[in-house]
Amino acid sequence: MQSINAIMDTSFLIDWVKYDKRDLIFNYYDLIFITESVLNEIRTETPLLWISEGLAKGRIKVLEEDKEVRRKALLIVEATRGLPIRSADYPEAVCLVFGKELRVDVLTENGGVFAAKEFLSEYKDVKVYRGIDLLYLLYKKGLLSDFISELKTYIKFTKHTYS
Amino acid sequence: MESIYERLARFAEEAREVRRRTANWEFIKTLPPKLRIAIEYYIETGDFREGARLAEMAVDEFLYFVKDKANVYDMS
Repeated sequence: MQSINAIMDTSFLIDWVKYDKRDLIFNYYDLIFITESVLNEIRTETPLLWISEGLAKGRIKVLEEDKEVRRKALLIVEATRGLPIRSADYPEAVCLVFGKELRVDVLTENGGVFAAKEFLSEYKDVKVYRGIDLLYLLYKKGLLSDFISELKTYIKFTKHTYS
Repeated sequence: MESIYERLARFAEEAREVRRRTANWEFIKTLPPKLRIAIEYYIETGDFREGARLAEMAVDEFLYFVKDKANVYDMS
């Protein structure tokens, strides 16, 4: 069976680690990637502990950003700058580039990333999921019994709602 | 038919309304100017990185403060 991997940005990570069933993500994905620029933004205990435990278990891996990835990410930032929504910031844009290059799912709560997918045809096939989408995927896989109830719990823990 | 631009603008406004509505303004008003203005900036724009920069906090420190202390919900 083909392994399923994902890359997670700061906006997703900060919320997801507040969820009491956060480790269910490892029942869906074999490996979670985090980029250097995302890791550099994290200073508090809860996400750092979760990352360090994931690294120790080999379920999280930190990706280095090379020159070409940085160049592509900056193009995404520039392309989303004029949109009537917050642009994709550099760390999120890097995740979208890696999502395409490594063919992994992108986990984000950044609307700019979704906008980039709509406006930049080269990224249209990248699978991008929010917290609500991942909860649904976990539910469909039988890892959660009640989607609506779990979504309410997630919103309560993370103070993040969905349109 | 709503264009993509119109849809994005509508979504950005809805998210701004959620942040404004859920914020604990009484608490926010008690904060020192640097932090208060940073949070107000985040509520209006959704830009947590610039908010964190204004507050001179790490991104996660800022977002957890905004959510846990100032009760600001975000929407995506």
